[in-house]
Amino acid sequence: MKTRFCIILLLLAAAPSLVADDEVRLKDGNTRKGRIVGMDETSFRLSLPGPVPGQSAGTTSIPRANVERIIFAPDRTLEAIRANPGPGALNTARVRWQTLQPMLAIPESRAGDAGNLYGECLRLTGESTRLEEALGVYAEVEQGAWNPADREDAKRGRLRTMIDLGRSQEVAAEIEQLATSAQDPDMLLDSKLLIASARLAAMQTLVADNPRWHEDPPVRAERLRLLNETADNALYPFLFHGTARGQAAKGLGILLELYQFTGDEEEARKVATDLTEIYSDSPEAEKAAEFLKKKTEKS
Amino acid sequence: MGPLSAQTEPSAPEVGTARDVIIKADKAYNEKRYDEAVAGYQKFLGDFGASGEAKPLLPHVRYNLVAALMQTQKFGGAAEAIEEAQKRPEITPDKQENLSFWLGVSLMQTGDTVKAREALGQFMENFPRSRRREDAALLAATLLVTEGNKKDAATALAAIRKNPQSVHSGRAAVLELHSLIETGNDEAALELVTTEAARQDRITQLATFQALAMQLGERLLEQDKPREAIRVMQTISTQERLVEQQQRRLEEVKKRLEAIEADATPDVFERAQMRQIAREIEKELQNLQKAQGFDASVRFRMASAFHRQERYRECALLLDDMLRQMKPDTAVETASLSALQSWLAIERNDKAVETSLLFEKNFPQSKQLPLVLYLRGTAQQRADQFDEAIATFAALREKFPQSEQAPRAFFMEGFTQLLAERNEEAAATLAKFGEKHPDHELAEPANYWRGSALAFAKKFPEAREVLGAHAEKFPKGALLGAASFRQAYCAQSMKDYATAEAELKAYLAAYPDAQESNEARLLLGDALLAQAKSDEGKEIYAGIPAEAGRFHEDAQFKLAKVLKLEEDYEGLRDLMGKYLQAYPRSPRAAEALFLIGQSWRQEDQPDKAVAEYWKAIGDFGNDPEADSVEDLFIALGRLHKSDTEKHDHLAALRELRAKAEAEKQETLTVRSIWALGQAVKKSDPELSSALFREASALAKAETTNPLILADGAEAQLAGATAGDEESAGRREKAAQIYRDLLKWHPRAAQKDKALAALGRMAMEDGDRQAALDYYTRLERDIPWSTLMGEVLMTRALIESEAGNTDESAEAYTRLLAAESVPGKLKAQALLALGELEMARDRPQTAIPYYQRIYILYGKWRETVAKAYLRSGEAFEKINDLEAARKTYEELSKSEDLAALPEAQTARERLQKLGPPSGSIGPS
Repeated sequence: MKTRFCIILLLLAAAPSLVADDEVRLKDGNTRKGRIVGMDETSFRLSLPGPVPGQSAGTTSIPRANVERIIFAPDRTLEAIRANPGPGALNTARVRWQTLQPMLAIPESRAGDAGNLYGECLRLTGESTRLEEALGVYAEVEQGAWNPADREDAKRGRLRTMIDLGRSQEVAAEIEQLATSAQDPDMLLDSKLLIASARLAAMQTLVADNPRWHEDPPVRAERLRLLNETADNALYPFLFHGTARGQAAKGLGILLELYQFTGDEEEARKVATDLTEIYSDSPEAEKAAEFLKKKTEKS
Repeated sequence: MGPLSAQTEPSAPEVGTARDVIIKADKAYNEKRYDEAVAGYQKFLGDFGASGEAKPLLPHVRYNLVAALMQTQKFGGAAEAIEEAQKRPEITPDKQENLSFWLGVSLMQTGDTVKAREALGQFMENFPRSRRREDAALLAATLLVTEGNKKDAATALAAIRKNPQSVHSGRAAVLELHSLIETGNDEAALELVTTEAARQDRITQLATFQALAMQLGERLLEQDKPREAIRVMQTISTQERLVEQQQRRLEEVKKRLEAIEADATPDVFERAQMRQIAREIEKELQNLQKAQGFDASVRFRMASAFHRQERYRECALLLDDMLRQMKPDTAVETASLSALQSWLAIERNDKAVETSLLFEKNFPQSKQLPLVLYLRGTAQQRADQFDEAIATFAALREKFPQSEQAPRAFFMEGFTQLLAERNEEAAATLAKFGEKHPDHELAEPANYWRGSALAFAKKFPEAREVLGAHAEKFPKGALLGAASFRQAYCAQSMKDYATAEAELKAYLAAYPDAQESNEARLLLGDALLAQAKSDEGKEIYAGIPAEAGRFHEDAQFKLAKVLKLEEDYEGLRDLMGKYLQAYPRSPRAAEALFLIGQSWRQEDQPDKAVAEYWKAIGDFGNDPEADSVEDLFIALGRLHKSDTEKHDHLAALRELRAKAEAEKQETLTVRSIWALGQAVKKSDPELSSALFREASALAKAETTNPLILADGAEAQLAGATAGDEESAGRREKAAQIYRDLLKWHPRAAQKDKALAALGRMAMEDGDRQAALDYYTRLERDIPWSTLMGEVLMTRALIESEAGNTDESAEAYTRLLAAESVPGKLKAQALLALGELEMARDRPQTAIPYYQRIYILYGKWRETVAKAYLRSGEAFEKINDLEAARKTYEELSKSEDLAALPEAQTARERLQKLGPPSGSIGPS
């Protein structure tokens, strides 16, 4: 299944002319159709459609000064990556990002989206060098993308990656700021999830640094604070926006991880049951089902 | 399908030939003037329908008449016309298909539901592949709902909903849910709601669907099925999201409707359907926008469901949000109280206090306010905020003296004072409570705790009086036994052993298995021994069972002490031997062995004492869980007095080390190397350090006694004085050992040493923040540490160097208040405080600090001399030359300080100041 998906992705990436054309509207009223394949400071390079579908008639250069607007065609490669991001899509995502990267600041380009998808693929590998690379990609999109939504996505991606890298303390203030200033409910939910992840990571570090935390009252108090803050934030999407299914399930996933980490089997079981019963189509539900299965086998 | 609007009456058709009439009617039809077309076709049928020449035209006319009637929504006429048209076999099958469907629609619109359903059934049977089949199925199912046959309707609708190809699955879901709820089939309704939750975007009447879901959730709650209720209510969107979704949906429907109407021959059914959907969504939106407390209503129910499942966190979070977002009303008032109780249930005391404050702000007149204040006091008490809790309880009884909570708050005020160790205050409060509420259910505990408070305040006679009267006052009380015990305890504390003995015996006779019974036995043993009733006392000690834990252990050692005093060494060895056998890993094992060793020494058999120790080391030396082995080595070392004995001891330790290494006994290896280090600590400090370093290098921090780790780290640091690479390496090793010590032994006695050393190293590395962090931890965790002086002094210097004068002064002030800080450091701190004031140009404030040094800390001469000199200078600054002169004179005349340079400076100052005013001068 994975192989098939990779082949589809490769085919899509290798055959840009099979997909619809970009449309370059010139200031003199004319339009040129083709596929934007590159650009420099002064001009765009347009691959022109050939007589035979799938073949190019060559490329032409169009001075940037002459261009009024570019209407980019839907990008099937990006959609395919979005449908199944992860290590399997990494190479395709990299190629797409590298192709589109120069157009990051061009209005209506999909470069920001491509950067974010590539960042997500890198992040999902969980490898520290790739996480570092993801940070770079997100930072570039955050600073250079024309689309504010892409910039916001990149910011969330960067913060998530920092948490994955165990550097949540460095971005703690930024995450809090995101939560308090978020106007859009989606952003609010994401920031709550980021806080929950950051608190969980901090708690795991605290416990690793203090394996006998229960003997140390200040550490015990700090652990309890982190536990409560993880749980409160992780529960937020589930309790207040239960129909935002993706985020609600992610929150419950964090909560399940928290309770598994703290060894609170009873609470873990309740959360896992929520996941399997209410968000059965989520990836977190799969993990929850495994957990419940193991518990049943044990008992 | 809802009622369609009526059309205007058509104008009278003109007179003409049959052909003319048809042409005109067709023209009107094509130009969407359907009333005119209807009139034309009807005229044709009336005037020419029976004629032979009209016959070939009849199929066309009859079909178009029906189509036009459908467009004008004259369904009564349409049904008749359809029946007539269907008699024309010449009508093509595609048109027959339409006629068949329209018949069902027309009959439905005229209210003939049974016939309509039959017609639609017929249609589906005759045209199973028709594009209208799904429409017909939905209409037929809807008719079942209208007829009240909701059970069959639900079955029919489920088939449509589950059909992935059906465009009506969303609408079917709404109707099916309605039918299932109406027929009480909650299980199927729950299944439907949870299945559709992931694909709600296809449900056009989403608000209706969610309102039904809420109805279902509520019913499940009523049936005490909270888990199921949560599953349902989790599918309900927030009002804001729902409005947004439905606005978007309405736009889509309107666009679709525009497209249908723009068609040359609009699909009458689809148009009607779209119009109806648009109307439904508009209505939903109006209702939604008007609805007040939609979200709150859902959340309150969810909170209730979570509460029933004892999921207090979820419940509290939901309710807490409600009371912050919503206007205060009765529902929010109830929710606030529930939130407060839920926070308390999960011991989120800070949140409980916060919620109670919000409640008080929002509902200052609430009847529940006394209860809320009581809960706030409870939360504060649980959070160890005793002063705040006491104030809250006091405020409650003052503001609401008649409330049910007032007496409880009164009691809690006294009890919290007791917890805060304000024992006399507690006793007074509880006494007042007893006077005011003698019949309250808390009167008995109040009396008991009053007596206990007096006992804790060491007012034993008063305590005995209160506790002695307890049984008389509360003859059926629950605390009679506890009061008797406490009374006897007071007698014991007053050294009235005879009374204590009598009362403890009476207590044990009455309550042999009470909670305090073993403690009472231990006390009774003490009382008996204090009266030289040795045998009886020993018997009592020996009778305390092993299950009594700490009391049993205490009794064993008390017994050992008696045996030692009685010089029953054999009995002592037997007792301690059995103890060691039973509790070989006890932290008191070393003490037991020490007593055994002592007994042998008393009998002039030191070799046997040594042998006992070696045996224990042999048995538990390699056991990392035997905590007291290190103590054994120290005690063993002390048994060797002469040089020869010491040499033999060293040889034995070396042998032990070699054996442990050969047998790969890791724990014993580390311990023996460390013990060797201890043994040569005085005679060869360098070798000792090297051995400590070696031991710590081999040690696994998690299982090694922190004593060994700390000695190792200290030895590493001792060898790291040079600035070379090796020293840097040792320093890093020392830091790592200290970090490991903190990590694995958070309660170690050496924790302060580790924190102070790490802070010092951070300072040396120029990382002031890290140093301050270590010091903060030390100040927080071990405020009684003897290193507190050094730490606070360094903190003050760091702050001072950073220009934080206030923080620096604060550190010095804390140093002065700390009991564990030696006088020398206190004198230095006072001097530094004086200097800070001088630097701020406040000599007046600096003087008392200097004066305190020479009044309180005369032992520290150098500091005293400096203080005198600076004090004189400060007096000069404020122009009090007389005082300055006096100060310099005291310094210069002090014999203790005469040799210090400050004394010479003082003399020079005096010279400069000249004689005091009014003096005659040197004679």
